Amino acid sequence: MFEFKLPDLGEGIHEGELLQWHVAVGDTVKEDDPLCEMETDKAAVTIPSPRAGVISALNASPGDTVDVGSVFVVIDDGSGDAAAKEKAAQEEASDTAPQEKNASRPDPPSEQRPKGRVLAAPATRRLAREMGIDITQVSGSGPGGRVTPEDLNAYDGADAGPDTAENPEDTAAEDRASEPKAVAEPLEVSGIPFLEVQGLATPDGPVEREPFRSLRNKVAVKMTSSSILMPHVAHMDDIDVTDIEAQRLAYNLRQADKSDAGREETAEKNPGKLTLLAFVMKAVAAGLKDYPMFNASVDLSSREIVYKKYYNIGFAADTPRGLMVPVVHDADRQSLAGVGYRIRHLAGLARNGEISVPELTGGTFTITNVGAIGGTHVFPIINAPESAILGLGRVEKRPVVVGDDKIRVRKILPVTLCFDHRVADGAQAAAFVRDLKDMLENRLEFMSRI
Amino acid sequence: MTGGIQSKRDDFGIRSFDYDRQLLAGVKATGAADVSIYPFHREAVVAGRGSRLDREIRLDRVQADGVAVYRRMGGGCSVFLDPGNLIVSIAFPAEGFGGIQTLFDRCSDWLIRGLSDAGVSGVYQDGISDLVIADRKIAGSCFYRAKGLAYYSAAILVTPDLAKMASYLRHPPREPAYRQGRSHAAFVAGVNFFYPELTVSTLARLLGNRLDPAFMDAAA
Repeated sequence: MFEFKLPDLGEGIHEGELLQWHVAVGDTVKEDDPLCEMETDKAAVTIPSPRAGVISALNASPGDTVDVGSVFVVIDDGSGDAAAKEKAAQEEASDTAPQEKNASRPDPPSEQRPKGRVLAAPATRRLAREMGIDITQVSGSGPGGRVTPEDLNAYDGADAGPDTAENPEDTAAEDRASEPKAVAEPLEVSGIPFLEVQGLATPDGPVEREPFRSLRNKVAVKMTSSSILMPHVAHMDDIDVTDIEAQRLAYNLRQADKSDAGREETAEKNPGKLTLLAFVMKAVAAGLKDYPMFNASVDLSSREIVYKKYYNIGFAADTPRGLMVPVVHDADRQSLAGVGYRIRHLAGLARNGEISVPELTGGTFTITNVGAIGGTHVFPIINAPESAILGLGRVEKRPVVVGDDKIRVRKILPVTLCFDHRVADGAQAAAFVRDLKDMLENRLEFMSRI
Repeated sequence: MTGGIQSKRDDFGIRSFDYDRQLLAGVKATGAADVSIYPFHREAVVAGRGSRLDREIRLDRVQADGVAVYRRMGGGCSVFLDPGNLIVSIAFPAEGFGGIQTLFDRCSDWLIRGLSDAGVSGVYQDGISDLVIADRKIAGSCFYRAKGLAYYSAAILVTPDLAKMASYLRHPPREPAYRQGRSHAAFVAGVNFFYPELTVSTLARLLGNRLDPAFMDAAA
């Protein structure tokens, strides 16, 4: 028997909707015969048969969503002996979806999880991804141990086996030592000279204890990993945004007029309103093309620097659930107004808890803006595995000596570029920030480069 | 067993959108990429491969007005085409049957560059595959992949009848983030909104000289 898993159809595509089968159970197929039609977000694909044989099982129906990596067709290719089954099972164990690779766990009862796979409907798997839950860690209450949406809602991590360090719900620290270790350890800090983890002394007064949970736990893991693994360097500067702010405010007034004039059916009151962040993001996306070291990642396994040729800019958003970093994909290819819309839209989704995983992933550079709250320069921690982050402070009016040696009141934006010193040097950071400064202080420079 | 473009969900008189049949046959026969550029000749609603017609199309109005309904090879939601639309299709050999997003993006880039060379600047990609100017969709596209073959088709709205579009199409069941709930009229614009002098035939001529299919010959 050959268990055909939905193959990787393209970067970022995790699932497809089954539109139509071209075969039925019992049909004989040759290699490359069309098996079915799948549809991703915009593309339709005819999936060919990888083997010749007889269709033994079809594990999905038209309209179902099928995850990449899940078995959706079984073909009897004549190798249906016990040895072949064992081999197939081994192949499956070594080739499961990424989220299943990172966790090694005690074997579940065989009647609940046959062949090591989690039983769950495609819609439930998608729901799990959207909720940020590793479905392999959830005990199923449905028939045969099938995981149901109710199981996901009830899941709080307590029934999980040992997890990777990034499991947001893992609070069973006292139990961890007795359980098997995770296969893919993301971080190994033991053996670092002078590194000492001290216990907390008995408090001198009343305290309240709160376990690291959910997003707080994720942030803690990510920030600790990044600050330990990456040698951070900060380069600071001040940018005179007086002119670009005047341009922005004038633009927003015009947009407000349009809105008042009855621009129709928009979700927001002022759909065209731009923030300074949109200007900075466009300038960053343009600047990164000249400074690829700040749009890169370090591949530790191969000791290579990976320079990315796409420009997905994340921005840190303070939400009721905690820090999130929505990502504006292909910020370099969108108009200024387009970037402005995306920032507002994504920030709204994040605040309302409606943002999806794809909208939070795939970033290549991050901007964090504390200006709305206050403060001057901020020293942000790089959002691993990116190689740099730009921190924005509060725009303030300051007395500045201008070209004719006169003191003028100007609007100043404090910025800090934190970067990974393994992939870039201070001179490059200074030059990159200088270019950003040029773009944001000179409208013509800005317009010519974005 | 190879099937057509029909879906089991169809319960409405619907035809296969096979205007690019010769293009695809030629590419399969020669193994070389090829392009087809043509103004659409009639009013029609074209559904995606997996579209639920009743969710996306006001079938009563379509039937009452005798508007043809097609189903295309590629995915996506239903669109309305009329003689104000210019169709640009490319088919090319491509190894395997994966790499969808990469190939899709390359096709979009190729068309954006062609439009820019033809004088239609300011076009960028947003959503999954929309071509956009100033946050208004000016072209939609779809993509089909089979083993060894990729096919991309875009409908450029040059002088579209947006009133009819709004009349025949429902608000789509899924939409790109940048649409933000906007109606068809507020979301879509013809290229001539930005370039008033442009007509379908002019753009067809300009693009015909500038879209070279050869760049996809070696697509993997």
